[in-house]
Amino acid sequence: MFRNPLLLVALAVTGGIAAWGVIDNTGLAALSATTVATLFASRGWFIMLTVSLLLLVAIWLALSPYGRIKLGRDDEEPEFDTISWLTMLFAAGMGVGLLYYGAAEPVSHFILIDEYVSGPEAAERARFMTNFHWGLHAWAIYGMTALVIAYFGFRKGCANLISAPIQRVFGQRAWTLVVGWLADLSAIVAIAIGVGGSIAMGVFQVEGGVASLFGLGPERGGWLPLAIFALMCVAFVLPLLVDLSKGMALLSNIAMALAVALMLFVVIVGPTSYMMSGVVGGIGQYFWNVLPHGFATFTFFDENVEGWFQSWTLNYMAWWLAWGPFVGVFVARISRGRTIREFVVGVMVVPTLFSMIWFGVFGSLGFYGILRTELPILEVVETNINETIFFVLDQLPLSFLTTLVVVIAAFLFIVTSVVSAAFVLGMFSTGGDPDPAVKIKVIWGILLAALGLVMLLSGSIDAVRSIISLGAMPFVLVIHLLVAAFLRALVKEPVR
Amino acid sequence: MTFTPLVDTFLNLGTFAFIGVLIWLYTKAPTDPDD
Repeated sequence: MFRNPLLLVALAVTGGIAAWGVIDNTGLAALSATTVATLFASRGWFIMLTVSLLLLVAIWLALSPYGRIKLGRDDEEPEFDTISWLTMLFAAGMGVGLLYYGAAEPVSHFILIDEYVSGPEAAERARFMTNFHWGLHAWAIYGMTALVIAYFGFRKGCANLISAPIQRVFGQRAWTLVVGWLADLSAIVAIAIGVGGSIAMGVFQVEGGVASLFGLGPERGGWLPLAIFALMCVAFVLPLLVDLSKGMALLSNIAMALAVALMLFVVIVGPTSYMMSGVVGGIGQYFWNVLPHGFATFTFFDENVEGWFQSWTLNYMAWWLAWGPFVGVFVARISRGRTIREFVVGVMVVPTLFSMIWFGVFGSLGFYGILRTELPILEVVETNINETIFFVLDQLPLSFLTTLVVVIAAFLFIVTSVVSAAFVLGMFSTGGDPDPAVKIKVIWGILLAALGLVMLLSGSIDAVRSIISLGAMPFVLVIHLLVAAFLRALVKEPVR
Repeated sequence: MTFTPLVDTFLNLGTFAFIGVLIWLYTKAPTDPDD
C-alpha cells in the first residue's frame, strides 16, 4: 500500500479536502463557490460544447457501421438478459437525486421562469429544463465514459483504469504516463467528492422525511442529521468489511423497486390525467428541442438567468462528470457482450425515458399544486427544499407510508452507492486490481464518510453542489482524452 | 479595456490551448504501432 504513489497522493488530496472542510467549513464552501463561479462564467461554453459533442458522437456511433462492434470478443454473448440489464442501468446513475429533486427541481425552475413568462408557459419550460438536466446529455457523459472503459477492458484486455485507453492507444511515452497518472487521480478525486456530496444529499433527504414523519419543526437542531449520518456510516462500513456485493445489488434493486412503486402509487391516487398529460407533453417537447438546447448558454440574458444557468445546468453537467468514472465502471461491467449500437440505445435512451416519466409525474404534481390549488408549494421550495417531496406526498392518501418509502429508498440508495464507490476507488487507486484489499476499501469508505460529513456541515445543498463541481472540473478535460483515444482505436477496427 | 476582463481571457487561453492539444491528438499524435 505504501509503495503505491497514486493511492497515497489520492488519499492525501481527498483527506486534505476533508480535513480542511472539518477545520474551516465556511472557508472551503466560500472558496469553492467563488472558484466554481469564475470557472463556470469563463468555461460554461466549453462544458456545454463538451456534453453536446459527447451526445453527437454517441448518436453517430450508434448509426454508423461501428455500431456493430461488440464490447468483447466478436463471438461473445451478453452476460445479462436485456430486461435485467436495463433495470440495473436505472439504479446506477441517478439514485437519490431522483427522490430529492422529483418535485423540487421543476418547481425551482418555475420560480425563476415565472418572472419572465406567464404561469403555464413557465411550467412547460421548467419541465423541459428538468428533463434536459436528467436526459440524454447526462447519459451521454455516463455512456461515453462507460463505452470507452468497456471497449478497452473487454475488447483490448486493458485494466479498468481511466489511464489505460490513453496509454494503450498513444503508447507508453513520458507524456502518456504523466497524463494517465493525472487522469486516474482526477477520476478518483471527482468520484470521492461526488459520492461524498451524495451522502450529504441523502442525509438531507432522510432528515426531511424523518422530520415530516414525526412532525419535527425547524427548531429541531443539528442532532438529527448527525444521527442519520452516523447510522448511514455503520450501514456502509459493515458491508465493506465482508464481501456483500450480491447483497448490495439486491438492496439497490429494492431501492429502485420502492421508487417505481412510489411513482405508480402517485400516478394512481394523484390527478392521473393531469400527470399523464404532463409526461406525454414533456416527452414531445424534450425530443423536439433537445439538440439545439444542448448548445444554449443564455449569453444575452441578465445576471439572474446567468446565475441560474450556472447553478443548475452547469452544476448538473459537472455532477454527471463527477459520477462519470464511477457509473462508467459499473455500466461497463454489466454491458460485456453488447454491441456499441445496443449499448448506446440501452444506456442513453431508456434511462432518459424513465427520467422523463419520473419528473413528468412528480413535476406535474407540483405544478398541479401551484396552478390549480392554493397550496404554498413555492414557499416550501424556497424555504426548505429538502422537504418538498414530503410536502407534496402529504397531499395524497397514505402519506405516512409514502414518506417512509422515500426515507428507506434514499437510505438504501446512499448505502449501496458508497459501498460500490469504495470498491471502484479501491480499484482505480491500486492499478486496476479487480478485487481490491478490504483495508483499502475500508479506508476509502471512511474517507467518503469524512467528505460526506464535511458537506453535511456546510448545511446547504448549494455548497454541496459547488464543492462537487470543483472536484469534477479536471474530468471535463479527461473525458476528451478518453474519447480521442477511443475514436483513434475505433477507426483501426475492420468494419463491414 | 472595458471589454477585456483579464481572468476570463487568461482562463480561456488555457481552454484554447487544450483544444489545440485535442486537434493534435486526433490528427498527428503517434499511436502505438502494436495496437
